[in-house]
Amino acid sequence: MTVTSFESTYSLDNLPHAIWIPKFSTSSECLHGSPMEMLQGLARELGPAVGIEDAIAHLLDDLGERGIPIRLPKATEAPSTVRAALLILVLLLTGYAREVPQA
Amino acid sequence: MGLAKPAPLGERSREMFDTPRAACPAGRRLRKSATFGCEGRAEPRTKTDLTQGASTQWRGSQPPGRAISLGSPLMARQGLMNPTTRIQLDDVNGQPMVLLGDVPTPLRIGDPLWLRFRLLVDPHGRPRALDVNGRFRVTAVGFDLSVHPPRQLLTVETALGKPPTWTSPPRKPPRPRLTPAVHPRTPVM
Repeated sequence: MTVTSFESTYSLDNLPHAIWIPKFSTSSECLHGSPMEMLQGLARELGPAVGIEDAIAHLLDDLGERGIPIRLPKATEAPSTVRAALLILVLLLTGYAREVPQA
Repeated sequence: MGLAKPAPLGERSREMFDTPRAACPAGRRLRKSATFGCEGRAEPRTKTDLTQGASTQWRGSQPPGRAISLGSPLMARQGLMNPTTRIQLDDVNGQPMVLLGDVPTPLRIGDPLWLRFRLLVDPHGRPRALDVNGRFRVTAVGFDLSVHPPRQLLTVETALGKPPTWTSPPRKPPRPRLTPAVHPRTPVM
């Protein structure tokens, strides 16, 4: 059987509404909503004065330390919504984050 | 969540991409053939001839690539469906890197991968060849979404047997030079 590509379960058009990052969080708290809302929730966990871009950078640093280098478009090249969606998608593709099954 | 302090931000990830490695030999890029396969998890084993679509390159000589622009989310979607894959052979001398297309994505750490290709380089006028044919294991996975098409970054090591080694292909014998023609001396009257 010759296969030229694999279709992933996830895409930018088909992102889950809730994810869980087991290696990053010590609690069982999930991130809900759109990718921007997920990163806003993560930024709130990091601290009161932490923005979304800081949360993205913190995630990228933690991923790099774990041997999962991720490089996103710069903030001047893509809006935060695109960067957030790309980051959430890559987290799911690499298995770093997991989708929370819906009831 | 018990998280560490957020600063400094983004420094280590940038270093992982921007730091060049001096151990890589610089040379002219040539490619004979490249095939790959993957077996793991739920995906079927794959073996695709990439002779037409694959390319190889060394670290440090990558084309800059185009960044994803604001108006190209569709391109980003299409690219993520089928990104090119940069494979680094971690246990080969010089840690060469090849850029292949149509590699299944996403691959996870520990996935087995069948690779078969031949690299021909000519650094400093000394041709060297690397015949890669065997089973490898993915040791690190990453993504570079700042270029188009996006790249899946894989680091692999040999899973079975010895890692491939560079060889020097035999040189062609030099063309024989024609001896100068011998003419009879012209008598001077």
